[in-house]
Amino acid sequence: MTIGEPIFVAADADDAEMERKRQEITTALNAATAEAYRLVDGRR
Amino acid sequence: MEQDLAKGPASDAAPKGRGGRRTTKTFWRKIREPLAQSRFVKNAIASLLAQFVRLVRLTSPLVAGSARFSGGAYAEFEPGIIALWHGQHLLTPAYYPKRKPLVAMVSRSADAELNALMLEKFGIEAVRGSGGRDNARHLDKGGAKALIALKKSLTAGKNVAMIADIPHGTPRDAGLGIVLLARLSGRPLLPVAIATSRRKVLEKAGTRPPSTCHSAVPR
Repeated sequence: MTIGEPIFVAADADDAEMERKRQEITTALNAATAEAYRLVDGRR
Repeated sequence: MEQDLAKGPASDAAPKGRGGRRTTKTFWRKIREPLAQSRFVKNAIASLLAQFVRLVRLTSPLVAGSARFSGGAYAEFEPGIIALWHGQHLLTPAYYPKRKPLVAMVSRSADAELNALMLEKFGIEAVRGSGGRDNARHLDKGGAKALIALKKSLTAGKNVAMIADIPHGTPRDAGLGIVLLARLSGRPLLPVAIATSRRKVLEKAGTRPPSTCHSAVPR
């Protein structure tokens, strides 16, 4: 299991910022997934 | 017909002859569907799923280098919004600390109900709904209620968990719902990924219920 860096979203985030954060969490989850696979496959 | 039903599961005890056999068949046809939808059957299946998850926890302990929620490493970021990709979410109870509260958003689809029942067996609270929205302004009523329920849980100090990708959207592309929750609550998103060396088995073993479409479809 991997946990990526926490991501905060400002209370006054506008549409553009929300979209940026959306992309940020997408990237973060994909990176965490890749890292989790790497950790688990590394055992073999 | 009502009188025949009142006799109870007649099967072999039914009087022989045309009338008896037809009664049994009709009775079976009447209870078959409600049985499939019965709370009892669903609970039994949810228990099986929970046992499977427990088995995974026992046989696939966390690999060295894994992060953990126990031990307080993330204490300053809790209560937080655990974000997971659809598919990986099923093993959450295997790796989330037992006595730590968790409130998870579970979609309202029929098969997600099994997921909700299974979570209850681990003491994880399920809130039905989705944070799905098509743009930054329009949130459907059920989605709004669910997000508010999660926000209240965060205020109460509990971690919450949401599947980041939208049920009928692009897989592995986060929706705005989870971002909105982070904005409203002020609590951080915690990107979590769970992988086991048995993931290929899991992927084939039906973690793709018919109502969600997470197969790889080329654009």
